Amino acid sequence: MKIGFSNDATLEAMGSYMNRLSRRQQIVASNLANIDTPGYRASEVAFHATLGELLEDRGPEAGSTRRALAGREVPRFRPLEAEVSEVTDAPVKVDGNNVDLDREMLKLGETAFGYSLMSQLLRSKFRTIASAINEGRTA
Amino acid sequence: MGLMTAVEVSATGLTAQRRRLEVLVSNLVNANTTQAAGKEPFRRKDVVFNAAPPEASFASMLEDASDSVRGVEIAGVVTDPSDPVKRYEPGHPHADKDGYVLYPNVNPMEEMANLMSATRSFEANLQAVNAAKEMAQKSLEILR
Amino acid sequence: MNDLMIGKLNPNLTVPEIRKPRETEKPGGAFGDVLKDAISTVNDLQKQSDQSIQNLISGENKDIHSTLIAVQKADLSFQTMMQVRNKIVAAYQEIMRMQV
Repeated sequence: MKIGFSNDATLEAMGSYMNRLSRRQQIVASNLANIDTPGYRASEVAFHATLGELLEDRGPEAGSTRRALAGREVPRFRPLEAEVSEVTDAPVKVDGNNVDLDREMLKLGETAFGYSLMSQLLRSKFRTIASAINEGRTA
Repeated sequence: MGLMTAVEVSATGLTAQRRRLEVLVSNLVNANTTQAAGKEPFRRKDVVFNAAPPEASFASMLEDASDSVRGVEIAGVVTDPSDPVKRYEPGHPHADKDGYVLYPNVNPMEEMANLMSATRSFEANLQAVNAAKEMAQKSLEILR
Repeated sequence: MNDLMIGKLNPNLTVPEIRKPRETEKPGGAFGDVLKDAISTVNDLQKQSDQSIQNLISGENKDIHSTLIAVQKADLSFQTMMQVRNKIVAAYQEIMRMQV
């Protein structure tokens, strides 16, 4: 979901964060699917992320109307891919598998909730923008 | 869409665990079957899990692929080669000339434990599917 | 008639400088001030709301409720400002319509 139309860092960050949570869900799903696969090592995506991890800021020059009018449209913010890392602190079972069911279930709940929250917050933000566009008219 | 990929991955987990359950149940059901002397008794079977990228996935169609995202597949069903259990039952119709009957190498306790583990894994994958579905629905609410 | 002390008139008196008007009235006057304050508050609340969201995402802020409140405040104050603006515009138009 690339929003990329605004210079609002927070808006772009929220979109990027939802992508990250989506990826996190894929990784948790992978871990759970392979919970009994011998030799499988779990991976993970961190739940929290800083602005720098979510977006690449090409500076205020990019994304400016002037450039757009000149035909050199470049969005200012580019969403970054979430980093997938190996889980190193989970005990390894006899068959070489280190997927911890409880941890993954926790991540499941966390991710779903975070995603839900972001969707709420985005809706709120968009509502503000919409009312600016509609100049406060409710008709 | 990323969440659809997650659902596909979880679906492979569901399929694999279900297959495993079938094999375990078959082991349990045949735990005490015997064959006439000279014939091979039932031997327990096991599934072999293998990590594999989800097939025909949305991920491969969009640029959403990642090496770390992998589902699971049953690479095969193998027979447990350990020896059958010999029990001294001279009156048994399937006893051999020494009075021993060969029973399957199935330990019901162990199979029950495996069964519970498979059920738990199945449930976990099911929860993952539900979580992804819920997330997909929430994303629609942004437009509301 | 003692007030008319003509004799005491100072020949160096110049016509007093036309007093400069008070600092130029800001366009819109009081209306402009109200709107400006509203905008400034809204801007601050928006920034706080955005920062709160970023902190939530980064994990610095662990309270969800404080972020939700900040976001709602920002939205509410924005809506309020829009209403204020609309009222001002309406009032202005009303005034312009007045026959002089």
